[in-house]
Amino acid sequence: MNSDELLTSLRSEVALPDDATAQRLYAQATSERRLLRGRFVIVIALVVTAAIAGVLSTALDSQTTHPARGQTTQQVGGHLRLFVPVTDVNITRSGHAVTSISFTVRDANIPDAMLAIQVLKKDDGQIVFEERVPMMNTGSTDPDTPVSVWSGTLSPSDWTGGCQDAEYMINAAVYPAGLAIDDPFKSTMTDRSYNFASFTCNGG
Amino acid sequence: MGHSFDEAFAAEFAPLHRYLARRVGAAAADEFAAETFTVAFRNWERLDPERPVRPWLYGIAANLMRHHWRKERRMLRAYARTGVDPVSTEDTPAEDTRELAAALAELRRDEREILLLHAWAELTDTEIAAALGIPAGTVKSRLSRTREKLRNRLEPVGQEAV
Repeated sequence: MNSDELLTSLRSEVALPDDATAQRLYAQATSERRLLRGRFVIVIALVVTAAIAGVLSTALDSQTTHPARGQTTQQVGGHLRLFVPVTDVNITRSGHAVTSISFTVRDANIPDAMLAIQVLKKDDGQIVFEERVPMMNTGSTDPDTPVSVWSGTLSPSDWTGGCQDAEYMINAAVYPAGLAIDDPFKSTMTDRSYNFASFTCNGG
Repeated sequence: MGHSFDEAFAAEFAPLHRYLARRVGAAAADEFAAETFTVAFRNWERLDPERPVRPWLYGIAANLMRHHWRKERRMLRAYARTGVDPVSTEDTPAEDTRELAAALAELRRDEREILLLHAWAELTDTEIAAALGIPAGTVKSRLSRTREKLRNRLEPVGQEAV
C-alpha cells in the first residue's frame, strides 16, 4: 500500500453521523434565527422525496443525484431520511418507467398543515407538477403521535411531458396552513420543513 | 438555480461531519459541524447563489478548526506513540498507520489542511483553493510537496508506489 492509499484508508471506518445526530445539529444550527424571529418553526424536516429517492434509486438501479451540483449523493440519500415523517412508500413501475409513487407523510409538530409538492425536470428546470394539499389534522395531543397526516399518490403520467428518460427533482415542504406563503420552497423560508431528492423516472 | 440552506444541509452535512470526525473525533465533529452550519445559516442570505456551497462550508469548518490544530497534532502523536487512536474505533491499527499518524503530526497546519481536504473530503484543487482563499496553483504545489513528504517518509527508498 503506498502512502496515498494508506492516507485514504486511515480512519476510513469512521461512520457517517446517524439520523438523530443530523436532526439534532440541524435544529441547533437553525435555532438562532428562529429564536430571534420568535416565530413558530418546524424543526422536523420533511423528507418525502428522500425516502422516495432512496427507494427509487434501488428500484430503478439508478443514481440519486444532487440537483444543483450534479454530484451523486447515494449516501446522502440515506441521511436525508433522518427527518423522515414518511412511511408506506410504494413505487410501482411498468417496465423501467415509474407509474406511481404513493406515500404517507406524518408531521409531529404542525396542526392544520399544508403539504406542498413540486416536481421539476432537472435539465431545464421546468416545473412539471405542483400541488398544495391540506394534511389531515389528527387532533392528537400525544407528543409521540403525529398531528398532521397526508397519504397520497403521485402519478408521473399526470406531469407535463409524462415520465421521461430524464432526471427529476421532487421538492416537498410542510408549513402551517395559516401562514401566507407564496413560495414554500424559497431558500429563506424558515417556517417550514423542506427536503428534496432526484431520480430518473424512466431509466430504460 | 440557487441552493436552499436545507438542500445544502441535506447534501453536505453527513460528509462534512464524517470528514471532521476523521480529523478530531465524533464528539468534536458534532461541535464543529454544528458551528459550521450555524455560521452558514446566519449568512445564508448573503451567499452569492452562484458560489459553490461545498467549498464555502469546508472553508468555514477550516476556520473553526484553525485553533484546534495543535490538539489534532497531539492526538496524532498519541496515536503514533501508543497505537491507540483517540478518533478511531479500530482495535488493531497497523504499524504503518501509526507511522502515518506521526508523519501527519509533523506537517505544518496548512499542509495538513490541504492534504486532508484532498484525501478525506475529496475536494478538488479548485474547491480547496476556494475553501481556503488561496490560489489553485498554490494548492496544487503544496499538495504535491506534502504528498512527496509523506512518500519519502513512508515508502522506503526503492519502493515504488503502484
